Amino acid sequence: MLSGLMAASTAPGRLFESLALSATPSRPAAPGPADAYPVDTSVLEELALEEIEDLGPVREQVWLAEVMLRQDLGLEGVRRPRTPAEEQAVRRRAVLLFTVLGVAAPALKSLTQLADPAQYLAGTATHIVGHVDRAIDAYVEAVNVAIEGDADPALKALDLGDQRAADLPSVVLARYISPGGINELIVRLDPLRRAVAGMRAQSGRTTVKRLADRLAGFDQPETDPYDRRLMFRLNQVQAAWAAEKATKIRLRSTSQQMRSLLVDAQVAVAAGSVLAAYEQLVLWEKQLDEDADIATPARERLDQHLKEIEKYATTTLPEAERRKGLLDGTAAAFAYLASSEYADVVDRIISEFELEAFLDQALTLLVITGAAAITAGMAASVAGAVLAGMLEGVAIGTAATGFVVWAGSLVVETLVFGLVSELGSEFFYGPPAVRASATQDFAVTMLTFIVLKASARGWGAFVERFAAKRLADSALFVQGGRVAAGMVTMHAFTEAHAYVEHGAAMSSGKRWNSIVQNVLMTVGLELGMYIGRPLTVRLAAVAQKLERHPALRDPYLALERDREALQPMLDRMRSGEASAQELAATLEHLQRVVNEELRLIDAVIEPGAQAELNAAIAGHRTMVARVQLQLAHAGVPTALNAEPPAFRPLGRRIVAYDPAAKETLDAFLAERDRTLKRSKRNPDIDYADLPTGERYYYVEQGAPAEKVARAERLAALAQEAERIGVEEQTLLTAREKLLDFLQGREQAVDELLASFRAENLANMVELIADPGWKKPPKKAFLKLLDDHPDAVFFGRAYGMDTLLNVFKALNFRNYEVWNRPTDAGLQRATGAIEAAPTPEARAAVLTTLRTGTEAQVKALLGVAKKKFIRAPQLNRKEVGIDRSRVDWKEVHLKKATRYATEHGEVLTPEQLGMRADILQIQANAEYRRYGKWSWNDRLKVLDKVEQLGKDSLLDRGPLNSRRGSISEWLFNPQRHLPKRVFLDRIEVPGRAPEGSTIPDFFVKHADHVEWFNQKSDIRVVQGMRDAVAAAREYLQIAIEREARNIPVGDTYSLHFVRTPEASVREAMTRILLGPGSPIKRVIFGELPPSPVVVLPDQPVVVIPPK
Amino acid sequence: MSAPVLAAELRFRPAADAARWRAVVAAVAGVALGTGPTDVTTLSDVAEVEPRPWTAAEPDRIALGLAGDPPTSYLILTADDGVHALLARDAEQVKVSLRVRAPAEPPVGWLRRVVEALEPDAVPEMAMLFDPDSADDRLTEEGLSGLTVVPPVLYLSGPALTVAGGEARLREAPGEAVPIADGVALALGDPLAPATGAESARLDAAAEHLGISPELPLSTA
Repeated sequence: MLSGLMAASTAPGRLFESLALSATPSRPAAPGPADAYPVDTSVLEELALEEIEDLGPVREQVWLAEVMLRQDLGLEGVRRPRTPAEEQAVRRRAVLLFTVLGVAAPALKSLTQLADPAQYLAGTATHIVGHVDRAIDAYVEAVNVAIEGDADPALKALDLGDQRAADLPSVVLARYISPGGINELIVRLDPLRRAVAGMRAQSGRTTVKRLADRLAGFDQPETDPYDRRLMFRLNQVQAAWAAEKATKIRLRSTSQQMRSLLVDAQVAVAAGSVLAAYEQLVLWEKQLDEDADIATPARERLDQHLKEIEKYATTTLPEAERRKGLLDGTAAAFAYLASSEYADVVDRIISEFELEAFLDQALTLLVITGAAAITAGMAASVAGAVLAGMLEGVAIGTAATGFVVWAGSLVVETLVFGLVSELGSEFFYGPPAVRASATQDFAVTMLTFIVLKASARGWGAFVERFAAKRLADSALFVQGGRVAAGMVTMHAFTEAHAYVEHGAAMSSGKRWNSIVQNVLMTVGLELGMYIGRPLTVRLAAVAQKLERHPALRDPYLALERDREALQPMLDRMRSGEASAQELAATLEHLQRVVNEELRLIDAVIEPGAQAELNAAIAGHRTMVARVQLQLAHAGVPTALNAEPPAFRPLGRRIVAYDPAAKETLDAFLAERDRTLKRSKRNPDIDYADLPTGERYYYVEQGAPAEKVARAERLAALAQEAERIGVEEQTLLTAREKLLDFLQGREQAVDELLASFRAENLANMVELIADPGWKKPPKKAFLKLLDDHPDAVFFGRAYGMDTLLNVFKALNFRNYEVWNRPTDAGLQRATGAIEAAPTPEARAAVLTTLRTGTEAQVKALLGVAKKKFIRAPQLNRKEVGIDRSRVDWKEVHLKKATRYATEHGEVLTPEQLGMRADILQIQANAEYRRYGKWSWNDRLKVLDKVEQLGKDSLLDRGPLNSRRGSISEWLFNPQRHLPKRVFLDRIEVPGRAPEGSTIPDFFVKHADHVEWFNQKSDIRVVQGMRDAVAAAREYLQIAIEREARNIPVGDTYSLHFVRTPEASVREAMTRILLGPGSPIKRVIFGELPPSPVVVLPDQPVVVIPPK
Repeated sequence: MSAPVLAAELRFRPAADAARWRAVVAAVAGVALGTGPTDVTTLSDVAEVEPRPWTAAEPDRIALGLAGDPPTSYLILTADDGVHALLARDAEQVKVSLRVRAPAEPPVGWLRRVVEALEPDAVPEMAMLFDPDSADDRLTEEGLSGLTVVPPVLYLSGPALTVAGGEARLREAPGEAVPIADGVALALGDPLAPATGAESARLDAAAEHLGISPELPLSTA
């Protein structure tokens, strides 16, 4: 990519000649890393309050946040002056709350709508709404905790909400697109048929038949109704499906039958619902008599929709096209039935009946019934569209919604996402081996939208940490030229993309990749929409000039050919089929076309014809501004060219704009059917709720909110520096470094600084600001340093780079645990430096310590090379606890102490020691250090954990969780394998949805798989009563959930790691395997050696069936 | 410190006669369990959540269950969590598993008291006493259809006694043969403690004498 740029810069032309002459071109004034929230605290609180006031019914649940914000803003009570510390605390929670609301507010609004059970099929509503309610609870919790200023729990609650919201499509689909869901569709047909017949009888139209009757199957004789035939087909499909599960042989025909049945049922119910609504309006017209005109427009509208659908009742079109027509037609009819326009008509009609004391409850019910069917139809119509292979329409529609996806568009997007999730794909297309690759690509693309929603915070952090700087650095090639405003560089994007794809810095590569890819795709599409069209279409006069120009004609024709070659890739991007590599190549291609076009424009327009040039590149300017706007939404401060950006992020969801670019902003919003609204609480700020649901704020550059914030920030910084006792600039440098590595979270910086010992604070700040510390410091390392003032002093005296190099050599490159000899090493280093006889010798010693290899540093300090020492054998008597080991003191004890502090526990040193013992046992178990111990010895380890937990007053919840985890490492023969998750007899990918079953291990038999859950429950050996209670409990769980979720044909069993006395064993077994129990087998104690050890790449041990 | 626990297993041939099982339940509740039942739970009832209090109606209810179709099982509990009785109607047998505190009298005497509390025609076909902590799993898991090891105290009557060679054969076996009701109890060791070396040798000799082994289990089913 860079080579391309260099070639361009040496090409003939005024712009590039001037560049070529400049050996070190001065860089444009690019924005620095996104300055997190340079906005006044009260502004943030005003905006947060406004968002809460807009929450609707959920507002009551976050009343505390509202009251506190009102008090902070002086809207309630008397606002008293705050101390600097109080001010800081208020700011912290304001920032946190604003961040949380950014996700929670739109999500809560959407979820509130989704929580209405009337939208769902009767048999599915309770389950789905329950899931929605749990998501709402999590988001409400996030807001309520955020106002307390507790970042961790608030963000955890937010994540939980995101998880639950993201699971929603799977939950909906599992209920709808399943035999159960299809059954729910079919059972609606008969009531609909009766309703239509009844209404026709009332309106004296018994002989009326429409083609829609045929689509709904209402034309069939009552003795052989259509719904019965559909039900018969459903039974057949279910039987075939069960057989597939049992035999593990997947037949494509079964999936096809299921698909076909789903579409038939859905078309029948959809047509029947629209027909019923139509007949209802016909009847109402008759009943309303003189006021019939209230109902007439709606009746006529439905009549049109019915005719549109009916066109496909007798068509000889190919089946796929026929289905598409039917689905499109019914979807349009549903859209009308779901519209507020239709709802208004129905309200008016019903109110007329009320006036005349003539309200027929049955009619109202029918309206609701119709609405319920609509949702089913919507879900299914999206499904149908994909099933029929008509991906393009859906993909374009979704891509057009933009890349920042919040929960506002949850209904449509999550259904699409859910459809193409593993659950839906597997259901319709079979296992991956037979799945069409286009569908997978489609799934991946759609996934990015959802991932982005869940990770917007992370994306912002990524940008601030990495991309912002690279973007700024990369904008160096378009200095001062006439057309610079239109020039773009994709270098930064592709580099960012490559970094994410190949770099190891990110903890979740796939997720980041998806996010970046998504942003790039949107930007690429934005650019492609403009530059993809030929110059003759956009700038006919310029194109003519180029075509006639003797020297520029050939390059111009080459440009158009190059542009034409771009189209197939843009099409692939639109349909979501472009791979990451194709995306990068397309972006590069786009850049080439943009810049070559500008070069030619620059060359063909006469010097001095500035007005003509400006007109020619106006489109390019707008295009760049639009790209900047979308990147600013994502928190990316862009320097796409030589000019200051038209849009840049001020903080999360707050974008500053150049007044000259206001038109671009308005146009962008208008395309999305939105306009700017003035904030009620802050007249300097406008906002818009994008179709994606998220609210963005727009501040004119230089507006008071921004200015006030800077002044406030600088004043606070000076005050803080004075308090600590360091130079203001030093504090500023240190803060910027910390901001850099804490991913722009100012609150986290404040917390980190506040966590340092008061007496160390100045030195720590100086040390962090030390220019020798170039790489981002790790938080754990900073805490280590804070615990070792001598090391801090060493760093201050001899430079951070010296300290780091010595530390690296002496501390095994471990930045989390302080190796004891390091202290001695630093002392020796101090001695070596200070004892140097001459300034030259001192400089030499310092150079070695600062830049020498590990061996050189150790040689200088007289540290012998460490031999590799095997970890000592665990002491069986002490069940592997060894308090003399460095990990016990430095890792486990500290962790236990931190846990106790965070949970407000006051424990004795011995109790803390016991907690550390448990953690050490867990670490041993995870490292498989008990691997060769006998089963009984391993049980003793578990008993010890139980005892230590009790003696150290560890709550039952955390103790059970810890013991369970240790038990798995000790006893689960398949702990190394990924866990499998099942819901409603189907394996679900990824995170376990609520109500799912996650077996611990499995045994493959000749004809089925036996799934085991393993229990380390101590109650089974605590006497008969406890054991019986435990058995009853596990039986109920098996009946209600566990055994119900595992695949048809497979079995569910239990393994208890402990062995109770024979009579207890017998009583438990008689409960667990009694009449009506779904449990196949119960095993106590040590597992038989052969059957359960199934390694991924080894032949499976097969047990013949009993 | 509470007294050690004695394990007893009584195995009966199935019968549809509820009155007979009522006597067995009465003997278990009134004689064997000592302190008396406090509550009971039907193990085979999937819907039951927790034990119900013991009432005078329970013996009839349990007797009806034991006389009915298998599988049905009950657990009678007492105030002492270590003392309880499990009564189960299986396909081939009715089994009573008892855990009681060590009786003051000799274990064989306790067994006599329990068996003699039953109607003469309703005594178990097989019974045994053993230490629950050191019991061989085979003792508890195999029923009338296949005794493969000999417990410290073994009682046989009816067809089981016949299959084992009759009363005379038992009297000739190592250990002490004690007549109880229509059967004979063979006391070979202390059922309240792990077997000593001599007791183990005696158990092995008795098994050999009676022709009981894993390859040739004592079966009356």
